[in-house]
Amino acid sequence: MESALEIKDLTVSFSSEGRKVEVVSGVSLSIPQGRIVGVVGESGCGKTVTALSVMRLIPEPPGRIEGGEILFDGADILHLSDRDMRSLRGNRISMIFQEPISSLNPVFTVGDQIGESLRTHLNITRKEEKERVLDLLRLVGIPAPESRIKNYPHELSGGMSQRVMIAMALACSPEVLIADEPTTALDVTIQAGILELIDDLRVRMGMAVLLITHDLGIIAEVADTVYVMYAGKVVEHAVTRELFKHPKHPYTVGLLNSIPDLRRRKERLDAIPGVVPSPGSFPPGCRFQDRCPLVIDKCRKEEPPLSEHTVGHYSACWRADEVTI
Amino acid sequence: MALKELVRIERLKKYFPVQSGVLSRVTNYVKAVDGVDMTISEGETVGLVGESGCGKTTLGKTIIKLLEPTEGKIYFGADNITGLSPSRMRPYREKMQIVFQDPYGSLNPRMKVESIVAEGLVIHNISTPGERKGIVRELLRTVGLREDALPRYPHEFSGGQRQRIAIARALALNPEFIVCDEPISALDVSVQAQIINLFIELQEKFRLTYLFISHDLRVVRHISDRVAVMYLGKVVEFAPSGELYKNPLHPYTRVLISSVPVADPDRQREMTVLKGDVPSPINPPSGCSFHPRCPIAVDKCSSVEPELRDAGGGHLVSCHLA
Repeated sequence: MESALEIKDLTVSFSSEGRKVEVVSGVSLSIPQGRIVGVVGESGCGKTVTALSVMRLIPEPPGRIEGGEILFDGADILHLSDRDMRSLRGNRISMIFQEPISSLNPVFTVGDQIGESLRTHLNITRKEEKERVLDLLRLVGIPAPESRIKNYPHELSGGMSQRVMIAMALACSPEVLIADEPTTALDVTIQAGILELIDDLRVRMGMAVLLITHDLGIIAEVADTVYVMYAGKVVEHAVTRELFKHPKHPYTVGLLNSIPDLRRRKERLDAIPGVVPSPGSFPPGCRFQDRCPLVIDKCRKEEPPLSEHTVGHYSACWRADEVTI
Repeated sequence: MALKELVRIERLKKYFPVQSGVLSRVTNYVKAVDGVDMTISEGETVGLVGESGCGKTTLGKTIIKLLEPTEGKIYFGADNITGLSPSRMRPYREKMQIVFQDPYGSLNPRMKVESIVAEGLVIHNISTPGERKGIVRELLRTVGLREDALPRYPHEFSGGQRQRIAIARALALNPEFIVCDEPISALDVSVQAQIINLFIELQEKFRLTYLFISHDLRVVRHISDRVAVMYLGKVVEFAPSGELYKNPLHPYTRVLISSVPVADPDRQREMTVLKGDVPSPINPPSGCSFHPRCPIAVDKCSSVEPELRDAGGGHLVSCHLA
């Protein structure tokens, strides 16, 4: 299947207090056309920085893209001029952020904000713009769009604001949509609607979606393939069903076991001990070693490469074949 | 389980005034908690779930009288603590504690861990200053922190560790009842499991009683003996945890449960997507407050408010159609 977007060996660092710290180390992932690719991991694993790199929104300095390629439509995004990038961003590649309330500008109406990217990227009249905005609001399921168009962000609930964000992101029918924790700030009842909406739009518009989340439940429901990230690296990658049924990295197993099940109760959960190491203090060898139940001497010396264990199933673990759920 | 009642609330209400105009006249009330009855037995965990804005946190805070109730009664053990003055309330304060959602905002950044955990002991004049250090050290061990945490400040700790400090502080006065207000929702998935385990261990060790507030139904299901579902300031369903998840009777509970994503790609869930948002608690809808969003509402629902009634075996529900 053809990739809409391909990230190859991306490395990003941030410097603070004169010290350079690598937060994303050699991440590769590809998003096929019309598919939803999930990225899971905990805070600090580099998932948001990866997404921001695709949008070229990493603040430089302190951030710096050290190496790698991000291929879109035959070109490397990392080498585009600012001007070319602007014509891509919000137009052919869009992003939805986690905090809908703080991502909207409080002094402009909903109609203005959605219309902004239309005005910027498409050559249309005011009247056409208004029609498009109304269509978009209808598309994302906002009732009474004619009156909503005049609302300011503070007049909207969290779920509504997220729908407005999605409408903005979709304004120019992007080929790639990056959704960074799009439902984390929302209630479960609203979450279901937003996920359904993203999936529905993918089918109708043939978008490729990169869905970033910490919730494996969401991944199981909507993603076609999954990348598991830990401490700035991809540690496992497979199609969704395979990853959940036969995980081949102890971190993935740990994440799966950490989720309380609606059907079991009041037993101890198999928690992963310890915490994610902070960037800059990664141990030599495997970065998961201190929390891993399968750790051996080799893990402390040599870093396991991401290698294919069964067809299409990649894991970065020396003992991948011994991993059981 | 010996069902000795520890906490009982009757028709508990908490309204917040809405002021408007130049004279700041009270023009209306936000009915955050609107007539809730509940009993919690010794050693039991009652889970409290619902969407944001449904009044979960207000209910938790009102039960331990961090907020003064507008109406209704609160009993702790056999004693009515509703109208007690702050000084007469003091002996009860020791017995009821709270752990908040945000471990970053709930610890004073200028206090050392030792003083944070010992603060309650100082205020309630328990033990001598010499003994306190030993008590704090023991508490830190209990919640899984090392002794070298004593002279450090909150910012030196991760979210999970901070929550452990907050739990140590709550345990310092040997409480019987702890309100856990979304204590794990700000934490990473792998750390959430550690803290859930800690809550379960502590309960067994000290025979604690919890009111566990969370919007995460998976977590509540895991830790609770009974679960109450709140909607717009009212409890709409209250049942033993297993029963509630196997056999939800209220349409709102059904929607909530069906909305939880399941980490199993083979399970196709039937999602019911609710229409609209939670209505304003200032002017809740007439009749059953869920009727405008309810998929099965009938005429009666918009005019007659359903009572919370026993549908058999202690399964309480307020729905005309259940």
